[in-house]
Amino acid sequence: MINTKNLTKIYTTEEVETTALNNINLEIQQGEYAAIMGPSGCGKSTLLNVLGMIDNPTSGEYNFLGEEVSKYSERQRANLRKANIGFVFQSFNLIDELTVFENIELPLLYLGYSASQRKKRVHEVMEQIGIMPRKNHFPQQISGGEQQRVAVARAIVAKPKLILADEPTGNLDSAHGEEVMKLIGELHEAGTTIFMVTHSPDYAEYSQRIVHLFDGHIVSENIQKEFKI
Amino acid sequence: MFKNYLKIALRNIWRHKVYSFINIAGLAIGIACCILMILYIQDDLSFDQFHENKNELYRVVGDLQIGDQISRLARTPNPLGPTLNKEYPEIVNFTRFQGFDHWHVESGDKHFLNDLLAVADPTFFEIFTFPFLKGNPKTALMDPLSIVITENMAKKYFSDDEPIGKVIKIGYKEFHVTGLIKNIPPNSHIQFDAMFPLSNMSYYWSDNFENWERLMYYTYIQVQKNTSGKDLSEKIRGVVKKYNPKLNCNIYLQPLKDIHLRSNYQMDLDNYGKGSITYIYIFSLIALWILLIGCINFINLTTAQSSERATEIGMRKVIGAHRTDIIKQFLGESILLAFIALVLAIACVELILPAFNNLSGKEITLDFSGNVPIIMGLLAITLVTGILSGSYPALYLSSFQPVNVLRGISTRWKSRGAYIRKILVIIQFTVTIMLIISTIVIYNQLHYIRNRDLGFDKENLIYFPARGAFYDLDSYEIVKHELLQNPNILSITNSFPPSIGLDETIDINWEGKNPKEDIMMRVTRVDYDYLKTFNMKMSQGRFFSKEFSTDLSNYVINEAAARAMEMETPVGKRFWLRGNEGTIIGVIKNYHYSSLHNEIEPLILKFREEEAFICIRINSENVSETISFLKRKWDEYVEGGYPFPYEFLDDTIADFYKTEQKVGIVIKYFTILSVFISCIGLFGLASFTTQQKTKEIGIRKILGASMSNILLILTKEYIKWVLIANIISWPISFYLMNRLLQVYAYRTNIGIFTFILVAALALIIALLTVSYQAIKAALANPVESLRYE
Ligand SMILES: Nc1ncnc2c1ncn2[C@@H]1O[C@H](COP(=O)(O)OP(=O)(O)OP(=O)(O)O)[C@@H](O)[C@H]1O
Ligand SMILES: [Mg+2]
Repeated sequence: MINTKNLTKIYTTEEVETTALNNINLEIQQGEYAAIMGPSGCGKSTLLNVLGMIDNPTSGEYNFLGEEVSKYSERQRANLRKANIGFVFQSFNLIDELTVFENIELPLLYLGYSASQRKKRVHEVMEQIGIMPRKNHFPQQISGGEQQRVAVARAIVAKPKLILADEPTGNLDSAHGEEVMKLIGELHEAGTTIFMVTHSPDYAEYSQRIVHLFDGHIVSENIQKEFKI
Repeated sequence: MFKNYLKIALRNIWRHKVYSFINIAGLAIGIACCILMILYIQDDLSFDQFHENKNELYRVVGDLQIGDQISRLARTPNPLGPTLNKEYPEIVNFTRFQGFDHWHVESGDKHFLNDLLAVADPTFFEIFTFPFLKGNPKTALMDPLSIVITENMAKKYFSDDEPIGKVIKIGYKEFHVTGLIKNIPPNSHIQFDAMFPLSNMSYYWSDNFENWERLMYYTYIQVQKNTSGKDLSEKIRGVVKKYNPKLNCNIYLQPLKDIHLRSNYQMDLDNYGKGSITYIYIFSLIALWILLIGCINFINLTTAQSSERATEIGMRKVIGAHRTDIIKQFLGESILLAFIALVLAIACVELILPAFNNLSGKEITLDFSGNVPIIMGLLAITLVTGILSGSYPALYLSSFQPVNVLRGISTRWKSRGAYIRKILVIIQFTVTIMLIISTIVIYNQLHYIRNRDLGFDKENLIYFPARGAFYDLDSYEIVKHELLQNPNILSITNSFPPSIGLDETIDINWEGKNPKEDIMMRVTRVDYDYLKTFNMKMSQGRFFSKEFSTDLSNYVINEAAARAMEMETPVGKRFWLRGNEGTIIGVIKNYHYSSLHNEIEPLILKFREEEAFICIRINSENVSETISFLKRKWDEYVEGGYPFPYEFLDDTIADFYKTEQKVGIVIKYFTILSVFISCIGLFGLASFTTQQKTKEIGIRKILGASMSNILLILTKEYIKWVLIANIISWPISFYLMNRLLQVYAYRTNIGIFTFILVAALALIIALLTVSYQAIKAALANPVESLRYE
C-alpha cells in the first residue's frame, strides 16, 4: 500500500536547515498494523504527515496505492486523502462549533454523501464507538477520552483504507488510552491498515511491527506478529 | 454542506458577540448610508421625467460675453423663442416662462401674498405635461385674461366651490380661471400655483417682447422626434448675434434632464430644491467610504481572530477540503453577515428617513413594491459588501497549511496579517481625519460668513413689501412719520434691501467712457434714508438728499464701479443709465449687496420710482413688542387683512448659505459615523491584541513593570498609527479644502491650528478607545494571566 524510496524532508528556516527525514525507505502492506517509536524530534510526526500527504517531501519517491504522489498538486493530494486516509491526532482537533454528530459527519460532506446516507453512516460509527448518547454535545462538554473516540469516529467514518494516528493516547490517562487503543485494534481486525506514532512501548505492543526512528533515519524494524491478510 | 457552513457561521457569530456586533454594526451603518444615497440619487434623477415629451424638450441657455467676462445665463432674450420657432423647422414648439412670488392677489374679499405666480406662452401646457383636472390644456391660456390654477390654490381660494370661471385679481387686472391642474409634483424644476399668459407682462413690467436686450424669461423648445440636440445646438449658436450684433451671446440647448442636476447658470430657477451633481458625487463617495470602513473592520477583526478558526481550517483540509471549498465557506460567511447587516440597515433607514427628508427637503420613502432599481441596488450593495470584506480574509484563511496549523506554528502568517491590518487602520484614520478637518473648515467658513463685516448692519432689520398706504408715495411720508414716533423704531427707508431686487445692465454710459468697452453693472433702487437705515458709509460726495430736487435723476455708485470706470473722482460727472441722464453725486463704500460667493462688482444706486420694500431698523430690545406694533399698523394701513409678511434681513442673508449649511450638517453626521465605526474597529482590534499580549504583560508585571509602562507598551502602536494617518491626511485635506473654499470670493483661511487640533482630537479618541482594554490588562493579576496560558 505504501512504498517510499529515499524519502527526505528538510525544513529550511532563516537560521537553520533541519533534516527531519533522511532517506526513508519504508513499505507497509495493506492490512498491516505498524507503530513508529523514537525520541522527541526524530521526525515521527513529519513522516506521518508526509505519508498522509498533508506535507510534501523534499525529495524521494512516495508510492501510495500504486500511484506516485510525491509530485502531486495540493488538489490531487486532497482528493486522494479524502477517499483513502483517516487521521487521529494527539490533540483531538475537533471543531468546537460543531456537535459530536456534525464533527463525525464532516468528511462525508466533502465526499458528497446525501443527508440520509450521512445520517445512517454516522449513526453506525457512533454505535460502533459507543458515543451515541453524546450525539448532540459539543466537544467542550465531553471528556478527553470521549473526544478522542469522536476523533477516531471521524477518521473512520468514510471507511478509509489507511488510518494515520499521531500519539492518539498522548493526552489521555491510562484508562482512556486503553479504550482508544482497543478501538484501533478493532479497526485493524476489521481490515484497516494502521500506522501509529506512540511513545509508549505498551501501546506499541498492540501493533504487528515497530519502526524505530532516530534523527530522521529508520534504525530498526522488528516484526512482532505475522500479519494475516 | 451549505447547512454545515451556515450552522458554523451562526455559531461563530453568536460565540464572539462583541466582534460580531462590531462587524454587523459597521456594515449596517455603511449599507444604510448607501441606501439613503441611492434613494436620494433616485429622487434627483426623477426630476422633470414625468413630461410625455421629455426627450424632445430643451431649454435655451446662453453665454453672454461682456468685456472679457463670460456669464452663463439661464435666461435668453425675449424675442428668441418665437424667432427660433419660425426659422428652424426642427423646432415644433416653444414657450417662455417666468415665475414670481409676493405678488398681491385678490379673490372676492380674500387677499393673498404668498402664492407662486407664473407666466408663459399659451403653448406651455402642450409642451409640458401638467395633468388637467378641468379645462383644456391646448386652449386654457389662449385668452389673455385666463388663468390656470392648481388644486391647492383652488382649495385655498374657493374652498370646495367650482373654480372654473371664478375671478382672480392680480394688481388691477382680473383673470378668469380656465383650467384646474393637479398640484405640481415636488420633482419638477418648474413650480407655480397659478399661471397666466405672458402677454400680460407688457402691462406689469412694461415689457417689450421685441427687445433683444431684455432677458426676462426662460425659453423652452420642443424639437421634432429624432432631432439631435447637439446638431441643433450648433446651428442656433449665432442667432442672437445675428439679430442684435451688440449682444455677444452664444446660445445653445440644455436637455431638460440636465436642468436639475447639471446646471450652473446665473439667474436660474432655484425656488425648488435644486440639486447638484457635485454634491451627489461627494456624498456618494462619503457613503461608500462609510461602507468601506465597515468592511475594513470586518477584514481586520476576521484576520486578527484567525487563530480561532485555524484548527477548523486545518482539520477541514486534512479531511480533504480544497482551498476553494474554504474560500467559498468564508465568503459565504461574510455575505451572510452582510445580509444580517442589510436587515438592520433597512430598519435604520426607516428610522432616520424623516430626519433625512427634513434635512434634504425631499419626500423620500422606502418602498420596495415595484421599485426594481432599489431592490437590485440593495442586493448588489450587500453582495459587494460581503465579497469586499470577505475576500481577503477568505484568501488569507484558506492559505493556512494544515501541517503548520496542527503543529501550532503560526508566527509566519500572523505577521503577514498584522501588516495588512496596520495599513488598513492607517487608511481608516487617514480618511476619518480628513473628514474631521473638512467638517471644521466648513464650520469655520460658515462662522466667517456669519461674522464678516458686510459693509452694512444686517441685524435688527425688518423688511416687508410696500403695500397699501406704504405703497403710495404721498401717504408713505405720513406713515413713516407716524411710525418714527415709536422709540423702538430707529429709521425707515422705502428701498430694495441689499441682495433683493438687483438688476443688471450694460446699457450705461458716462463722460469719457471708451465706447468700445462694455461693462456690466448692477442696479438697485433706494431712497434718502437708505444709507442711514443700513448704516452704510460714503467714500466720496454725498448720498441722495431731500434738499436737492434733482437727486431723483442722479446716481450714486460704489467704489468698485468707480474703479471699473477708472475714475479717481467721479463725483460731478454725467452718467446715463438706460439712456436716462443724471449726475454722479457720490461714491458709497463697497458693501456686500449679494452673497459672499461673489466679488463686489460695480453697482449703481438710483432713486426708486416704483414700489419697493419698507425696511425698518428697530431697537435690539423689545423686538416682539415692536413687531406687534408694526403688525397693528400693517393691519391699519393695508386693507384686506392679509398676514404681515415681514422678514428679518439676517434670516434672508442666512438663506443664501442654506446649501452649505446643509452640506455642513451632512458632512458632520458622516464624520461622526466614520469616527464611530473606525473606533469600534479599533476597540475590537485592541481587545484582540491585548488578549494576545496577556502573557507578556503578566511576565513584565512580575518583573516589576509599572502600570504606566504597560499602558505605553499597549498603546504606543496605536499612537504611531494615528500620527502617520495625520501626516498623510494633512496635505490631502489642505488641498481639497482649498478647492472647496474657491467657491467663495471671501473665505476663511485654513490655519495650522486646525490641523494640530484635529491631530490632538484623533489621538485622544484613539487612546480613549484602546485604553479601556489596556487598563484592564494592566490592572489584571499577573498570576491569573499566566495560569491561563
Ligand atoms: N515547520 C517546521 N519548520 C522547521 N522545522 C521543523 C518544522 N516541523 C518540524 N520541524 C523539525 O523537524 C524535526 C522533526 O520534527 P517532528 O515533529 O517530526 O518530530 P517528532 O518525532 O514528531 O517529535 P515529538 O515526539 O516531539 O512529536 C524537529 O527537529 C523539528 O524541530
Ligand atoms: Mg510529533
